[in-house]
Amino acid sequence: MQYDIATRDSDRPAQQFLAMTDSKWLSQVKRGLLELCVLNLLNQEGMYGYQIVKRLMSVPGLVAGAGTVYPLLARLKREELLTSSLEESPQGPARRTYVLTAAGRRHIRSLNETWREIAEAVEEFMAGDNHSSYR
Amino acid sequence: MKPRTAEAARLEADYLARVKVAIAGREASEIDEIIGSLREHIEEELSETDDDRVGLVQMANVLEQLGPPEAYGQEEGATPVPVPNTKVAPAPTTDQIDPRYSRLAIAAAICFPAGFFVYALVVALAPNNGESGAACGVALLVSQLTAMALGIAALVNIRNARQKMRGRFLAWFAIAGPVLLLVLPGLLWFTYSSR
Repeated sequence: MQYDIATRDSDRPAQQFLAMTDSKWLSQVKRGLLELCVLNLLNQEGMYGYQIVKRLMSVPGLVAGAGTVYPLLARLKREELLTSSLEESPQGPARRTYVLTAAGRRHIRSLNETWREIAEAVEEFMAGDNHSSYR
Repeated sequence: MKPRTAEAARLEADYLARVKVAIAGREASEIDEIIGSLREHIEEELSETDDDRVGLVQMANVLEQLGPPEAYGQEEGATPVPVPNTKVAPAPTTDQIDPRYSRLAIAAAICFPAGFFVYALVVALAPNNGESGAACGVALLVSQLTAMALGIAALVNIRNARQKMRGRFLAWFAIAGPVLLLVLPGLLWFTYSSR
């Protein structure tokens, strides 16, 4: 049986646990932020699905893809926060355009307000992190 | 829709079928929405290629960008867990007085004036009957002691209830009334007899 000298066997479960909770936490945060970003995008103007995916994929760190955006759009539509309609396109296939509903606009206003409060509070706690490039 | 080779069409159909499996827990309208969006996305990507006919490699590249089909089932809220519709009995709280102790306080409060009223009635109707007067005196004493006992019992038991004002008032009334009724005549008697 071989032993890793650098890492004690007794440390491994803790490290595995930390790695697991870290990735779980990160994925949950990103999922929550994705909803915020999608609703904010649509708050500016109506967009079609492909456009939304491309726009979100262009933001480094958000790690959003079709696999997360389309199911999210479908859920938001079910929750009546947005509506979709098929529009013919002169250049290509018909496009499913998403528009925020009145409830969606109210929801995003409230989410933005909450997000600003949270971000402010977290930034205050992060003030001691000298290595942070956040500021 | 851009024409595909048979292999490319098969690959696309297989991908969409796997996505459907991954999102099977969702409502039918949502499944249609997601699959429809994916078809449009694939078509948009393919429309940017110059080839007239979409080959296997092109299709594979597009599908690779879309990510693994299993990822579509991982969006939060995709498969809501049904909540069993069972009624749970409310947990006992100390917010309200137990009705038993509330009734006890009321009984105590009634007992005090009722005994006094009966005594006064008998004395008024038969003022010269010494026997009935003595019996009524004993009945009055018993009724007042009962009122006090009930009042104390009610007060002890409703001590921790938050909604206790009415019950507490009645209990104190039942205790304080007989005390005054029994103590005052005693004091008067002591005062006059010592002169």
